[in-house]
Order: sequence, then C-alpha cells, then structure tokens
Amino acid sequence: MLDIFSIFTKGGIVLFCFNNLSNANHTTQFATIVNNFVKTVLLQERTDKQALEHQGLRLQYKLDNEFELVFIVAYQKFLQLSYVDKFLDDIQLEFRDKFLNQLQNRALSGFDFQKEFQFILKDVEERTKEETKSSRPMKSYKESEKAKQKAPLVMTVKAAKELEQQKKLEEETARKIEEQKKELQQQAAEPEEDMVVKNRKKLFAGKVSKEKQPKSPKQPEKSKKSKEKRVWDVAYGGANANGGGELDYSKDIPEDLEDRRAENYDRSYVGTMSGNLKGLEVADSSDDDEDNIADEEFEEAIRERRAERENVKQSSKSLFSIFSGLVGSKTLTRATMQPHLEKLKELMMSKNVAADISEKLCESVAVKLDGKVLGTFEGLASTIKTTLSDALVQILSPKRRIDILRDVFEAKRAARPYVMAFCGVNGVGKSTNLAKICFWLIENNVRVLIAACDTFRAGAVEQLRTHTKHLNALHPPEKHDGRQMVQLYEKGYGKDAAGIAMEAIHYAQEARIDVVLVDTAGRMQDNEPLMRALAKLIVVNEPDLVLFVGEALVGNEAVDQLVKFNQALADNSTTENPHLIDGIVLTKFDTIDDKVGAAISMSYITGQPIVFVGTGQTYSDLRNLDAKAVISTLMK
Amino acid sequence: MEGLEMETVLPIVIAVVLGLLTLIILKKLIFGGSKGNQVLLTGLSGSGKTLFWSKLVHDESPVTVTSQKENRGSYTNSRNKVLDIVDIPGFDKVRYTVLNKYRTGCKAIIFVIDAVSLQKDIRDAAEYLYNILADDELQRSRPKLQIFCNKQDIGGAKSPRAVQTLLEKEITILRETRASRLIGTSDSGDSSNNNSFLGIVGKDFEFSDLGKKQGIDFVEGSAVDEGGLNSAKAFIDSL
Repeated sequence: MLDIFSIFTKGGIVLFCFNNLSNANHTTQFATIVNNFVKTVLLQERTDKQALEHQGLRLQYKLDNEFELVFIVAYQKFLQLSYVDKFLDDIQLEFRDKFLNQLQNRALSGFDFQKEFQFILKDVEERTKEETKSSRPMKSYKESEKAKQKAPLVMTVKAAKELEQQKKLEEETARKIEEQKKELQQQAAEPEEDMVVKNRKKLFAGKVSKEKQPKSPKQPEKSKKSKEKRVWDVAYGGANANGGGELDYSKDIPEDLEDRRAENYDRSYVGTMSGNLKGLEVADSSDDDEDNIADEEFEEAIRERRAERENVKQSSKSLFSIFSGLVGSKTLTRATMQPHLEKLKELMMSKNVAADISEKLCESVAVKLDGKVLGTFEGLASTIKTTLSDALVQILSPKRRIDILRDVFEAKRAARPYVMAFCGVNGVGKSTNLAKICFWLIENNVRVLIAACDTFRAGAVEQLRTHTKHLNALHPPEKHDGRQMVQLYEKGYGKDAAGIAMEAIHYAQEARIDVVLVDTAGRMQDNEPLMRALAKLIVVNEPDLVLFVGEALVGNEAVDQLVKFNQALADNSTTENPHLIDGIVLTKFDTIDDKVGAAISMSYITGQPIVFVGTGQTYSDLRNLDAKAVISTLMK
Repeated sequence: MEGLEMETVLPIVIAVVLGLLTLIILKKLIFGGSKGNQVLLTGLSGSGKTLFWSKLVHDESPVTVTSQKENRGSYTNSRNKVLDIVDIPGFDKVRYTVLNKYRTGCKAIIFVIDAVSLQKDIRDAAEYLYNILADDELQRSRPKLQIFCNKQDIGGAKSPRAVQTLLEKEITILRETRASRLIGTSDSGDSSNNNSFLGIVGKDFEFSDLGKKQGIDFVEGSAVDEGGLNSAKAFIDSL
C-alpha cells in the first residue's frame, strides 16, 4: 500500500528506506520526491501542515526532535489511508527503542529495520481494519432512517387528533405572548416621547444662548494658520538637507520651463546608486537587545531561584527534584511551550504579521521543538525565541539567487531584452517604484524602456512621461555615448495592455534596449475580469520577472491579495508550470516604524524573496532587504 | 526545624551551582579555545557534500537527501591532527545562516562542485563562491581553499581546468554587476552585503590574483569511487 517509507536525519543521511515505486528509475524518483519535500515543507516553515501532495502522491511525515530524525511516508493520493498517523507514531517508538545506542552515537548505518517495519505495518493495517469493522455493525430496520420516516403514515386517528389539539394550544399561547409584548411597547413609548420634547426644548434654549454669546476672537486666527510643511527626517527617506523643495511639481509651470527645471533637477544623488543596492538601514539595537535578553534571563533565573527556595521550605524531599531540574535535561512538550508560543504570537501580531500566519509559524515552531531535549543551561523561553527568529530569517532569505543585473547581462548576451512586470492593487506605488528601479538600472549603465500598460487610470501615462523626462535629465545622453537611457513606450488609453507590452518588447529588441519595465494598472484582487487581463499579459509576454508590489502598511489583507493574485495567474495559465509571482517589492517601508510584519506575511505566502524595498519619495530611496535587521526589529 | 533545614540546604545548592558553573566555563575554555581546526564542506545543494562527509568521517556511503542541518564529525589526518569536519547544507535559505556560525576561525574550506551540472548552475555556484571569497570575516581568518570537482565518476564531468576557466569568467562578470563601485559595509549597515573587489582592477579575474597566502587549488574527485577522495585527503593532511 505504501509507496515510500523512509527515515532520515536532519543532516540528510538516509537511515532506512523502503521503496515500492513502480518506476524504473525509482531511486532517483525517491530522491526528487524527498528533496522536494524537504525544500518546500521543512525548510520553508510549513511544518504546521500535516501532509503534502506531490504528483499524485500524498506525503505524511513526523519529526523526532530529540534525535533529529524525519519519518516520511508516501502513498497514492486516492488511497486515503487512515492508519498512517498511527503507523508513524508506532514506528517512531519502535525505531527509537531498538536503535537507542546507535542514535545516541550518531551512527550512520546498521539500522536493520526491515522486519520490524513490515510487522508494524501489517499490525496497524489489520488493527484499523478490525476497528472499522467493529465500529460499524449492521443496522436493524428499526434503527434506520427509513423506519422513522414512515412512522407518521401509519399513525392512528386518535394520535392525529391529539396532535391537532396540541397545535391549537401552542397557537393560543403565542398569541397571548404577543399581546403582552404590544402592551409593554406602548408603555415604553410614552415616556420616550416626553424625553424627545424635553430634549428639543433644551437644544433650542442652548442655541439661543449661544447666539447671544459674542464670537470668540481666537477662531479666525486659527483658521488663517496654514498647514506647515513637514520636514522628514533623513532616516525616513527625507531630503538630504538641500533637496526638499524640488519635489513639488504640482505648481503650474509652462512646458518649456518645466523642461529647464528638470535639467536643474537635484543632482545630489546622481551616481549614488551604482553597483548593488545598499542594505536597509535599521537602527542598530543589537546591543540593547542583548542587554534586554540578559536582563530577562536574569529575572527569570531569580524567579526560578525563588520558586526553588519555596520548594525547599515545603519539604526536603523535593531537594532531588531541584537538582534534577538544574542538572537533568528537560524535554520540551507542547503544554510547556504553549504559553510562550502564545506570547510570541501576540508579539508578531502586534508587529503587523497577518494573524493566521503568526499562528502557522508558532505551530511550525512547536512541531519543530516538540520532544527536543534541552541542555542543562538552555532556557525554555530563549530556545523558543531563537528557534522562531531563525525560522523567520529563513523565511526572508531568498531561496534562489537574486542578482537582477547579472540576469540582465545574460539577456543582453542572448540579444533579447530582460522583461520585468509590475503588478499589485491600486495605490501601492507601482509606478513610483518602477521609476526608482529604472533609476537604479540606468545608474548601472543599463538602457531601459518603460511600457505604459496602465491604459486605465487617468494620468498614468503622463506620470510615466514625467518620470522619463526627469530620469533622462539626470542621465543625459552625452554621458552615455549619446544613447538615450530611458524611453517610454506609450499607446494612449483604453487599449489592450498585453498587446502594448508585446509591442514594447519587440521594439526593445529592435532598438537594442536592455530592460523593459512593464507598468500595469492597479487592480483589486477580487476583480475577476481585470485579474484575467493581468494573467493574459503575463502568459502572452512571458516576462523574466513578475514583481508583486505591496505596501508595508498592509496587515491581514496581504494574505488575501497575494493568494488571489497567484491564484489568478495559475488559473488563467494554459501551461503546466504557470508563471507565478517571482518576487516582491515592498513599498512605503519608511512609514511603518517597527511594524515590519508585512515583509514576513508576504514572503511566507509566496515563498518568494523581497527583491526591493521602497523607503521614500526620491529616486534613490530603494534598498535591499536586510533579513537580520528586520527580524531583530520584529522580535524586540 | 524548617529554618534549620533551609540553612543546611541553601549552601549546598549554592555550592552545586558554583561547581557546575566552573565546569561549564572550563569546558568552554577547553573546547571553545580549540577553534581553528574546522574544515568546512560547502557548495550548492546536490553537489554531494553529505556523501563526501560520511565517506571521509565514517567511511560509509549512505543514500542522502537534502540536508537541513549541518553534520559534524572529527577526522584525524596523517599528521595526527584532529580536525572538525563540518558539512554545511547547500540550500539557499539555510546555507548562509549555518556558514556564519562556523566562519570565525575556520581552518580550511572545501568547496564542492557538481562537475556534471556546472554549466547549468554556474551562476549560482560562482555567486556563492564569490560571497565566500569576499566575506570579511572569512577573509580575516584566511582559510585555505580547495575546489573539489565532484562526480568525476559520471561521464561528461568537467575537468578542474575547465571548471576554473568557467568560474573565472563568471566571477569577472559578477564583480562588475556586484561591485561597480565599492561600498563599505559600514555605510550600508548590512554585514552580509560584502563588496570587496576581487582580483585586480582592469584585468579579468583569475584565482591566482587572490594572493599566494590564500592558495586555491582545483582538484578532481568522486565521493562514490574508491579512493576518489584522495586529493581532498591530501589537502586535509597538509593542514
């Protein structure tokens, strides 16, 4: 019945393997299945899930955290074996009992388990069979539903009369109750009316007295005070002392003047973005953190000491238990971890991690730690906390290489443009961050074509035109061997976005432009027709990178957005491996202080890295995500 | 009665606690001080590090799957030196976390390469190697580096010479895309974003440019074949 059963260590060494795959090259298939499982479940913090389905197989697993083992079972999906859980439990116990010595010595071989495995499997199978048999004895006719249904048909006339009388009685009582209710309502209504009248009178009196009062002289002064311009701190992406004013383009200026103005555009950050993006600067508070942790641990130690002392007072017998508590090893159980996990879940939710994701993460940590034996001086709380923060770092670390410039170079060699498509809901900053990424690319001497595929929102194309003008002013063609660095491909409004993108890509190929940035219209994830249009754009043009733009302010909504965007892309694709979201642009990161949870939510759902982080309004406010800094802010 | 018990018990508790503390400190001093005997096995996922490790340390060749955690074991070389061999998982999400744990004071690194699938994975392999070469912490301890071109038992495996050329070419491109301008780690506020320039400016990258102190040799071998690890063993013996 089972296709695969295997026991392997977390280090990746297979201790026991039962392989029943019918395939010719079943060893490689075994390896692919298990490797895929490890990479998608165990290393992506999805251990809250009990099972995984993969190519018609259903995988179920159990972790032994004491000896760092993984037990895994795979069987055909349609079989629906109910005994697998029990089987895994039994086999874990048996395996541990039999090879206790070898496991403690971390031996790699000598696990002759075939006989026991077959025995346990048969035993569990038979027991479940028996249980299902014994729990469902045949029903007699009297017990069945049918017998009950037919009963009223053979009712005697007497019984029918009795029933009718009962009905009448019920109706009467109902009527009486209703009458009583009406009376009560009337009584209640009368004083209410009185109150209304009184209140009106009061109000009127108040109005009169107010009119008599002279107008306070302070009021007009207040209204004259206009809103003051807010000066943003540099740390939050504000202007570097000199550049603040230049951002205001809202004033009416004639066309030619604006052009001249674009040339005078603040050049202070030209040349600051070459090379790789800088890391995100988060106030370094690791020292404080350590202090805090140390303090907490110290306090906890004191508390423990106190508790111990009280124990001693109670009876001298518990002396041994103190020693065992101090020296002996503690095994983690779900019950002991629960309060700590609860606390961490609250902490994560307070930092804007989506609720069900923080729950899943805690569950995953619990599964990972359940049964683990703590060393003598390892604290429970600190162990859970470090496990969780390690898990979070793992989530934020990319699962593949992200080096866009390198890939652009590769595309250049293949004489084709590198295409990036941006999607997201309305108003998250798609166009703004597209312009920033464009700036970063041209700083690194890459020519860019912007495809204006937002053919829907008024002013979208003009916005991109303005950006193009500014970017070209910052990097004039004279500096780049007479080549224009940024171009805009526009076809006006109301056209098919996928078509425009395709034309733009063709144009880029002919004009030898290195990168095409496709700006799409913002759309809500529930808007079915628009989502289909987006999927079409991606299917038709096959961009190298599909970036989801999401704002860092978003909380629980992040889950819904990403799930539905991915779903739409998957549903509307005709290929076997649909092109889903490849990466995330996290915008408005300067506005959220320490509530960095959206980063976690987004990369957890997609399993994709956060490629760019937008941290402000100017072209240079684009960063890489520094996973460690984000996590240290989160766990504070 | 109770007060008396308390008086007798408390000193015992304190004594035991103090005793344990000293033991732990001693242990840390002894074992923690022995850093600098670690040999790290690293490389991309699926290049055969775990098999290499079990062959070297336990002389066994088990079936292996993707590692989630590091494997550690000691190996005594021909000069009777005990070395701590650490097999670092190759999956992108875990490798840097584990590598950072062991990078202080490691003696040598064996970078295992799958010589069969290198053409496909060259960009990933080169980037990982680049990060190791450019890592501040690792550069400080100046570990010896061997690049072990694994899987020579399979037909079509690339020779060490070919691997070297491929890697040099790739790193030349990589250092342009990574570091067209030098950014100090202090002003980026990000310790993992190392951008120290590798090689000589204005000249294609060559491993020999890295300086003689940090010798890098390319060897071929196979973790499956009998004696396939001899080149690596010779390297470890030289430590």
